[in-house]
Amino acid sequence: MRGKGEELAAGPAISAPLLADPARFDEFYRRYFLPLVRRATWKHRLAKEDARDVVQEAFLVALIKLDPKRNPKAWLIQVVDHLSVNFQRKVIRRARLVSRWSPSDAGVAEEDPIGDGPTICDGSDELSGRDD
Amino acid sequence: MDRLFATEVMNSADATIRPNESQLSELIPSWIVASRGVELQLGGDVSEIVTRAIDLRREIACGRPVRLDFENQSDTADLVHALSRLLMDDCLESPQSVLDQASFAVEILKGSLWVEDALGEWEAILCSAMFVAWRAARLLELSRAAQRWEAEYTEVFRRSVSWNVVEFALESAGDDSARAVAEVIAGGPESVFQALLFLRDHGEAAPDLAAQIATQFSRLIEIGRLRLPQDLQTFFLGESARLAGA
Repeated sequence: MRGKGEELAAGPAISAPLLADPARFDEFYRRYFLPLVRRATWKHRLAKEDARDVVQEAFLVALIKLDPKRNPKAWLIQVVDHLSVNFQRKVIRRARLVSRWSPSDAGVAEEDPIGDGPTICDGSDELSGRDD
Repeated sequence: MDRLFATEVMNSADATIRPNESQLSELIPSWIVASRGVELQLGGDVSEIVTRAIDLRREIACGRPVRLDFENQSDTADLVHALSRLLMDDCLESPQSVLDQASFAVEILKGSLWVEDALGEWEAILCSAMFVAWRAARLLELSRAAQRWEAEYTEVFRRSVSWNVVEFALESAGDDSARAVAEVIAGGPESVFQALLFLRDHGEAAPDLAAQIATQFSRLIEIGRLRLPQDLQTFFLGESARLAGA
């Protein structure tokens, strides 16, 4: 999944396992990175690029705060959830400010990202089998 | 709060997770350095996946045989996540078809083999599909079916990583329960559902704290901290009030 021609930055000795071994890099990417991106995308309704940034930020937080003795996976998921919620709050706050200061551009919904609000691509009306 | 909610019995998920956990924490610094400047692929485009999920719903509704490619696990995971979201969004309007399709999704997921699932994504998606089915059954006033879905959900949830995620999320509740609860609520209806199930299980071990947190849930839901559909609002209010008074 690495970009062509991308150069990996030299890092401290601890980075050796993943820097030196593309297979291990890919394994980490598949086992941890991608599932967390999917969680931030689907549970918290973030765009994938934003989800990526949130997950990378979670890894940075983990660098400082993660306690390996206390279920790191659950901890990491919880941090991704927390950062995703914060990200959504910022988006909503920004959208409110934009709509307040430039009403003509107020195409940005103030929708709570949670609940049954509109979705990114709600084509469900096309579905057959409505109950009523 | 220091481990007030500590799960006393290690569940089966813990048993399989533990050996790799030190590996995860050791590899994170390495990942941060190695991924710097790398263009990481993020899987399929969201709107395209949602369109495929709509097609999938249509096939399920028509009774066509549906096969998901679990060889391409990342792509299929995206698709099932999208399906679950669509079903949740459509639950109020079409509970019967949502119930049928969510039940179908649960069966597909139960029969699938996820080769690589370090973070318990399979259980999380399965739980989401069951949550939708539970909600649809309640909307249809199928109380026995709703109870069955709730029991199934609880069983999967208890042995999933999500259980520990809730535990972490509520950890700060001893110091500032309103803040911890607000964070959980911001995670959406399923997060609230999980937290209430968690508190229900821990009501005996730490009754005062469980009641205190349940009271916060009740208060924040009541003042509309989470904009909830009426059916979920009613359930969550009732359940949190019951736990608060227990």
